[in-house]
Amino acid sequence: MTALQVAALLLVAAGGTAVVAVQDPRRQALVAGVFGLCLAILFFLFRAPDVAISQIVVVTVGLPLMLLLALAALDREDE
Amino acid sequence: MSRRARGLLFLPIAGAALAGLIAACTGLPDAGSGASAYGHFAASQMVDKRGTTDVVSAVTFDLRAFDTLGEEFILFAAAAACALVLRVLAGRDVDARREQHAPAIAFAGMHALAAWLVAPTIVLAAYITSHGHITPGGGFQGGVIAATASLLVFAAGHGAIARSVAALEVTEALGAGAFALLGVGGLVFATAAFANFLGPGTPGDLLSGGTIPLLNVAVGIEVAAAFTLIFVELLEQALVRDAG
Repeated sequence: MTALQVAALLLVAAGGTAVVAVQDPRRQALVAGVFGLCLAILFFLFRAPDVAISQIVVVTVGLPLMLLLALAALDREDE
Repeated sequence: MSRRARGLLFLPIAGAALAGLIAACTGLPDAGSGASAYGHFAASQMVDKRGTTDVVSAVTFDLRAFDTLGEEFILFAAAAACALVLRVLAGRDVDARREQHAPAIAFAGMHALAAWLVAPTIVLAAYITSHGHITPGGGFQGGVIAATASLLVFAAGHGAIARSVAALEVTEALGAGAFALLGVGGLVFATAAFANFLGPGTPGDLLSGGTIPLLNVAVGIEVAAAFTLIFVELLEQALVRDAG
């Protein structure tokens, strides 16, 4: 395992902890996106570029947007 | 349940999970080593036999194309269910509200920036989809990028996409249907469903890999329409609740 791979693993550990530590769901959606990008770096360094690209597109576009839209719909329901 | 009781319940379970995880990971081969016989076969044969330089695509769209058909229809069913459950009641005046709320998070120059990004995003999506058998990427990744382009159209202040939900549904069905038809093509022109019935071509060429690039394009169309449909339905839901 190279130093870069170790660094990426530590980055992923820090990112995952950050997602849990953030309290506000809206911020959490965006932090989860950044965490996903860390995962994409990890996949790339472990020689899975196909998975890395899937990860980038899903986690930067799909996941935060769906979470934010769902949160928006729930907020409106509460009012 | 009190905080203390929750902690007492959590610690042994977390400990057991950690022990199981460590036990499961100790037997793994080191990163970068220990290729399986299947992996070795795919890496050594697919470039010659199928003309694809991206072996992952050769596995997902040739050796395991039937599995990909299943995944394809999972997404198809998910988007259809999303559209069905979130469908706005007919006759409600959604369009006016949509126009009103489209720039909810606007900042100076956002419309121009989004409009400027649409064309490069579509080009990137087409590139990633069409080169899936040569370089990393493929129909799924390209399709999601194409869905991003339609979101950018939204962010540029045009709600036109949301008014063509029916067209999105048809496009999605066409993509999924094309994938299934290419599978049937293997049955007709070759020996089995999803058999690669076109020649391999020269490895590295855009037109190589037989049916693999065609399957990639079908997946790309389906995924782009499915993701756009899901986004549009969720967006509509958020906007209608606002007025309701």
